[in-house]
Amino acid sequence: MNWQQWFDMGGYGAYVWSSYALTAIILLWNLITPIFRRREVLRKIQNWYRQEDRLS
Amino acid sequence: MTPRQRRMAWVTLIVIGVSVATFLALAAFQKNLLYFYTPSQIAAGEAPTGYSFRVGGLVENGSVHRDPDSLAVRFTLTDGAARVTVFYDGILPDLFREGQGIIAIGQLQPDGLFKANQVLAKHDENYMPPEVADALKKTGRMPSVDEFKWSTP
Amino acid sequence: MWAFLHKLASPKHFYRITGRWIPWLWVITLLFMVPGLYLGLWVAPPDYQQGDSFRIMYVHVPAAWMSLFIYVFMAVTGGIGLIWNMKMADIMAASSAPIGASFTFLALVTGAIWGKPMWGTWWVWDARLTSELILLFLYLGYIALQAAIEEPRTAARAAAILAIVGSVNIPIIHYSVEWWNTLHQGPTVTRMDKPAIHPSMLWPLLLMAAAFQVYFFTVLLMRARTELLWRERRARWVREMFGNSTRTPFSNTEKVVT
Repeated sequence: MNWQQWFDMGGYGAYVWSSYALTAIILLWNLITPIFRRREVLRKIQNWYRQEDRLS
Repeated sequence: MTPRQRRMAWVTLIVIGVSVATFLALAAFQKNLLYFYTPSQIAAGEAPTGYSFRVGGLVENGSVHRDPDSLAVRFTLTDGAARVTVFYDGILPDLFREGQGIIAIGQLQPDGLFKANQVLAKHDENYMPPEVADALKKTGRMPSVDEFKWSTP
Repeated sequence: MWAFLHKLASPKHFYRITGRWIPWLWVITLLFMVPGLYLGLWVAPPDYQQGDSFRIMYVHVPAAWMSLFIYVFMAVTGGIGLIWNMKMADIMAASSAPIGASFTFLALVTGAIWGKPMWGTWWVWDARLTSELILLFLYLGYIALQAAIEEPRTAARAAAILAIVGSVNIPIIHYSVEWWNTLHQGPTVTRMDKPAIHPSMLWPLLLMAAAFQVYFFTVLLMRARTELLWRERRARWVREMFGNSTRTPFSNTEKVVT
């Protein structure tokens, strides 16, 4: 089996590869959103601590 | 009862209640959830006339006649007990072939011909390489179509 | 064992212990996924009926299984939070919802992409497809309900009840192909009477399913840890970990860490 045949997937290349591409997008989305959310939360709570420190 | 036990009782009650309600609703709507009618049901006059419905069955071997000048095709669907002739003018799915499970959507004509405006292929749950399929067919151990329970509701 | 689980239920220990797990969970995910993809996309032979299009199965089926598993997980952890007032269970339930919704969406779309060449249609309203679509709406309803209620305890309680009530849909999805005439075919792997799938095609499926399972717990822990920090921002241990100042937090922001 050569690469050309492999990408062609017996004529179903568009269907197979679009499914796998969407899967990759979903898996990456599930990985990236918690990372960004974590940054946001850390920024928020650090601001919050700073404010409290100033008030005291 | 402690508050915790009370909460547990509530949750159990909700689950049982909703399950029973859902079961009753599904049992009542059983007929409407049937995705297709079988040729036997059509033969028994259970299928509606005058409006669109679906019929499911196997494409009978040797029954497919294609019009050489257009996409039109005529074939017979069977569930083993009865058969219905289907006429269709359009693009067939890749899996369409003799012996394949098919669902046709359309109307039953007064003369008994089923005029389809869409044909869908229903594939089975078996997956194997072509060589294995050939070997199974040769030894006669290929799971035969009547083992797929969908043909009888 | 119980002592360990008990420790995990405490926010501080949960945060510390799971932080050490995450890199290893990624390694395990890849150990399942890389051979799964290699066997599924390269080694496994084309199907006798569907040709190479059946390879969509290796993402569609694990995604569909996960959509059901995560919902059950969400209902069970939600129920635990509801009955035993356990904060960690609430956080787990809330954190699993968006992941479950994304897997449900993935199962629906890859199913449509597979259905177009094989069945001849992107979508039909048969019992299997419709009940899976309802599952997506249940997830979205759960997320919306969580977001609509400000107070975390009330939100967790309301959402848990929704999750528990919605869980009647799970057996309906699973058995839909057996109870009713559907366009979707019957179960392949859970059929016990005879092998419905050749081993060379089954192995990649099992590997991908395992990869998705471990992946779920990995991203779940990532989400849950962040959510935990946010909800516990008043606790001393969070402040000690992330506060910039060296002075001790004042007494009214302190909270007993249990």
